[in-house]
Amino acid sequence: MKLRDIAGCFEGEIPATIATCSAAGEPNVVTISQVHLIDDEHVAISNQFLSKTAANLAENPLATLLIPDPGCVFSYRLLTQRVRTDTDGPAFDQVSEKIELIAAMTGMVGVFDLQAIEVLRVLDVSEAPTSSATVPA
Amino acid sequence: MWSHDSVSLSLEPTPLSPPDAPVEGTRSVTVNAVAGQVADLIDDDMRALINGPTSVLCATADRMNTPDVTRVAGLGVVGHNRFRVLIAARAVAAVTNITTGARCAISAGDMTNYRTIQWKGTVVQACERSTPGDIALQQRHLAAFTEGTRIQGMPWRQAMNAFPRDVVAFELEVDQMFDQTPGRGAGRRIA
Repeated sequence: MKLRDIAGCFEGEIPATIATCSAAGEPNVVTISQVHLIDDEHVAISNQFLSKTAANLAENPLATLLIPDPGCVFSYRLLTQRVRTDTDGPAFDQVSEKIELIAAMTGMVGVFDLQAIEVLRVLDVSEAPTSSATVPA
Repeated sequence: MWSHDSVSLSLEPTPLSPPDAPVEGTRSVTVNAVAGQVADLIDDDMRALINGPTSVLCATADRMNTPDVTRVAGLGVVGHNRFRVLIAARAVAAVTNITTGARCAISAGDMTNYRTIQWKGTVVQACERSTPGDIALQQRHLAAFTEGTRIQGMPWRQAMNAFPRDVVAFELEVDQMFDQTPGRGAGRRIA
């Protein structure tokens, strides 16, 4: 399965979730407004209130994302590895614009404050368990 | 060894039970925090949160510290700071990771106002086959979740897709609690 096959999951209609783990083995789970598709191998998450997530990624670069498809609410699991943190540049600007739009749509203008984006390389994509045996194509 | 196919479940939402109604087959105990005793991390306010229109997720990690996240299909309180947690039997990574003594994080977010709490704790009972009480717990959570999706304008039949039919249950004793409501205070440890 390729990221472009699930492009609808990156529109931000339904919040996603990211799980990280400290070097000591303590898992952490956070809901995030959107996962951003960067290219065929990379996604990015916005670092707004993610102090623990960012700290975990700094010491253990692995993260698993759960992203729902807004068309049917089936979810996909993305096993990822942190590549870098961007605080400016084209990808950062692109994400920042989307964040402002989401804030406006959810009545949370001024609450979201983009500090950085974490760029993640996708190692594996799989279907999350659902009520149906298979996810529709 | 538990079985994956021991229970069948109708995913038609049923009316919500009163938030404090005990689920048959589980214990519901409230213990107030007193001096010298571990603080009550699942008080009435928290019970109201998890019994309301919440989206609940569970994070675990394997022995290589590879994190996993899966949706929770039911969350009940079965003792002081102790949750009974239902997850998909087919959530292979989570089921494998959830061994006695493993660390686990549970996040519960109110779908109507984004208030979110995360608990962290230790698995005290690994995954086992679900009981009739678990099915009632699952139905109650499903009804609350679909109410949340209705408020958000999402058809409930779509919401059904997010939930597994076959679940297993494990128990988690929590020792930390964090406020993860979006905002500048997100991540603040409460207890």
